[in-house]
Amino acid sequence: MFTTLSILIPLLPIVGFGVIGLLVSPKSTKLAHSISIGLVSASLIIAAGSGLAYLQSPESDKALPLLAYNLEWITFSSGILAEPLVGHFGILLDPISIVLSLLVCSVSFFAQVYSIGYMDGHPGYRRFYAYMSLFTGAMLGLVLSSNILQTYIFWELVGLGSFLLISYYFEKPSAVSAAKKAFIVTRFADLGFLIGLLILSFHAHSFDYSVLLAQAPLMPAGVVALACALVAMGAFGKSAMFPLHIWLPDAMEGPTPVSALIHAATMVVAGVYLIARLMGVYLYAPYVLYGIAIIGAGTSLFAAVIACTQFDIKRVLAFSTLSQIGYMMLALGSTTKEFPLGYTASMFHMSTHAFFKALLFLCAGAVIHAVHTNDIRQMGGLRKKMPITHLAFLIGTLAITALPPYLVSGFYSKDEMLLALQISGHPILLSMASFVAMLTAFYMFRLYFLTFWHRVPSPNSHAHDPSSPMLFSLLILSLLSIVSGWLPFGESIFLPGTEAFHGHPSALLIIGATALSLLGSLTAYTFYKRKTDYPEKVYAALGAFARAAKDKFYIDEAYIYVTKQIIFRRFSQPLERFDRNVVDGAVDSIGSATRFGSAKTILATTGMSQVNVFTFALGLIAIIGFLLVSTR
Amino acid sequence: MIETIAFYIFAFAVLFFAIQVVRTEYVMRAAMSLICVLMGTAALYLLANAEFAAAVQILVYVGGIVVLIIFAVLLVHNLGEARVVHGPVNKFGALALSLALFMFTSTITTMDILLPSLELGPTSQYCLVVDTHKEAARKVGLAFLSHDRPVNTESEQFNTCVDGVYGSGKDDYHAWMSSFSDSGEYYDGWVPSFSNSKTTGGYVVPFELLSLVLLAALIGSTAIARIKVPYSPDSAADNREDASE
Amino acid sequence: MTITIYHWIALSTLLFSIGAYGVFTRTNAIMALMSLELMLNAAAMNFISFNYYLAPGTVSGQVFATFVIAIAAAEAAVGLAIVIRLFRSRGHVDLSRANRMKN
Repeated sequence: MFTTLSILIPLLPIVGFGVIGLLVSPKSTKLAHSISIGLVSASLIIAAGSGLAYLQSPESDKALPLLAYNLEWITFSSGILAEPLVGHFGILLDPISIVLSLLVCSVSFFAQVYSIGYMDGHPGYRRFYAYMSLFTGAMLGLVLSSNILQTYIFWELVGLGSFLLISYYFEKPSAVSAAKKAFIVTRFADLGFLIGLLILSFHAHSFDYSVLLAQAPLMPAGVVALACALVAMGAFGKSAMFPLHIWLPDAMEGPTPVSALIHAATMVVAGVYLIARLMGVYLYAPYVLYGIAIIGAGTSLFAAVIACTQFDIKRVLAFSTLSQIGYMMLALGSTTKEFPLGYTASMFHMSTHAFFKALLFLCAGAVIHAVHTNDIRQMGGLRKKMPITHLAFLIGTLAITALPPYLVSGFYSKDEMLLALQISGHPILLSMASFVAMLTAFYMFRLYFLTFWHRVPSPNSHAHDPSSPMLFSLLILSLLSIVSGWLPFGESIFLPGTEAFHGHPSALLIIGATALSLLGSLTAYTFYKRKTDYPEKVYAALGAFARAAKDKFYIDEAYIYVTKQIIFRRFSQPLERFDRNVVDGAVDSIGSATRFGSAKTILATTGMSQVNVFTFALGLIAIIGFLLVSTR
Repeated sequence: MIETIAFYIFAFAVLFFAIQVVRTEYVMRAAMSLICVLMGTAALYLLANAEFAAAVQILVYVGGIVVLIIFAVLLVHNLGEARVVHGPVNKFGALALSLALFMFTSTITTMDILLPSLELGPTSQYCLVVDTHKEAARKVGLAFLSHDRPVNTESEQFNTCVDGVYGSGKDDYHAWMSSFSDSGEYYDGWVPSFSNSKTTGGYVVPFELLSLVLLAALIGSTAIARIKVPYSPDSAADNREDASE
Repeated sequence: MTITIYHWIALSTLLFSIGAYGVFTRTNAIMALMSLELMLNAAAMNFISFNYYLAPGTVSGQVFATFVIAIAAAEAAVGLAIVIRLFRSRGHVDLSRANRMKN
């Protein structure tokens, strides 16, 4: 029964977008959030039911996909295609799609409940919920899609939702330009995705994932590698890997629930999800996978270093997100046929990360809501004033740094990833990942201490714990951050066609990872719990490197240079001049020629009838002459 | 022979006076030249056995139209304007266009587009000339007053000598004319055309319509040219008398 | 040389062209109308000549020429009435100055 209802999972929130956007008046805030949250809950329930139905089906033993729907809606047939390419709209139930759909529904649910308190009083309340529903529906469509064309369509819709939500405070020019940047960068990356998907579907004669995976061994190796690299380009854009990461820090201009939902938990993992979905094809392009791993590791390190220097609470969390997604890409990139643990580890980390990162963002939102500033240098001592928020943030921080007590989820997922790296034999990447783990611990605890410890609050600051909708989300997410690590992921989620992995990380690995995290967190403790001058000394000692890190290694400036000086000056402006002068000039010249012609022609209307008679006779001669010539 | 000379004399006279009409500076001179042109044309009509047309030409054209023109000239009293002001159309352009018009029109009218070539006209020995003078006025009168009267197949005109035209005589002419009709028959008064009608003449309808046209012209011209006299009543008593009518 | 129809046609065409020249060139309205009469006269002459050479037994050409002359009379009357009206309102009958319909 649930499998037949599964088509409603993406459709309900999109319908909700239409209903809220068109039919609900901006004043009826309760109706707006009720419709949105109600529909997301319905999708959550149906997704859960579909998941259970899948687990009971025979495919789940080998983690094979179950196609709940496949409706044909468009056919492409042309001379170069051997057979017509059919585009479907389908719902594919598969361990990772079910996990991610549950994830999206639940995080969206909590973010929307949180927003009842956070967005309270804003004039665009209804618009916010409409866009949230649109985004949720589009993300669910992306996750549950059965073919790559449908993924692309919903990919773009998700990008649209992100654009609309980042520019939610559209009166702020910085928000608008951040939204534009996000959209343009991801759109540019989608060029690669589109070309890659066209190559794949051309050779496989179909858009469906099952056909693509089956046909992958039969395609020429170079073609597979090229297509996979191009699709990976699209994934890098959406998941903000270096060098297409520039949009994610600026995307923090959006409201905090948006950052929690989109830029921490769901949209940014769409790229990871895509590569995971196509893992069967990527296994035939090992160099591409290696490249993905390297870029993932590099981004991870890069982002972690920058996060150590930032003072905006949301920006630190944004770079932290970049770093964690780098981890996921690294794990995926280390997957091979013999050691497919990376796939499982990546998906595991994706789920746990969603919960604790969303929790961290929502706590940050509560803090921002209370102190009215994003700058952590102006915060301090909030642990007494906002105890529940403090506890939730601490749980989130422990989760991300994977410290003992080993109850929190992040520990499990991170160690699974490290294990995957170890057994597939990438020692350099393993050491990079471990170093990043240490840095993660450092900057997260830095953030924690600077926000909640570090200073005595002034008597007249009115920070307090947030209102009940916000608190509700924080509490439940804290619980989930702890619990989600305990789930037996590896039993159900593994590369389709292989078996569940039944190994455990070695004690050495666990101790080593924990030691590094402890090192990082203790460093942060000494530096930041009380006011010291160690940070400034280290900063000064690192000199230019530290300054570069603070300015995000000047990547944005490089982009601006390339676009303004090279592309704009050398290409765009000459083209614009050409367009204005030649093309528009040609069109205008038709108008001005007409005016000129008519100005000259109107001289013939002298108003003297004899001239008219003369012209008449002239015309008569012309006609007679023509007749004479034509009949001769 | 004499007809040839007469034709040439009258033709050149017409042309000469026509050029005078268009080139002279003085209005009265132009009007007088116009009279000479029209008289010359009337003479040419006589040469073509069109006595009725000649008479009408002199009566109506000369006696009516030119008189009207002279009346108008007298009413428009700026005869002193002897200087020819620069006209709206360039003179040489007009000359060129007129010559072109002449060339083209004469080319077309002498081309054999519609009818096979008409080489020769009747010779001076064409005795039909003499015969058609018989009852010419009666014929015209009948033409104006009748509507589609049937032809008489007895071609009495051809009883006399018909030679030198399209061969040796009447039969050849007859045959030549018959070749234009669909049925191959030629009747007296029959005009070469593509229809095969056995009727002739009959211009009563256009005649009556012409009278209407002239009436319209009459009324129209008086309406255009009249001077509006403002209404001025004589006395109140007269008005009451008139009102009781 | 006998006179053929072509002589007549040449004559009438020439007369027509002379009349056309007069119509184009004349500035005085009455003189333009006189040239117009020349043109009509040429047309009537055409009818007469066709009647004489192509349909000798008939009177159709003369009848038609009569019609042409009658129409010419009507047109001359109306035209001269207009000229008189023009003179009354403007004070001149100079066609080169009668350009109020310009543009």
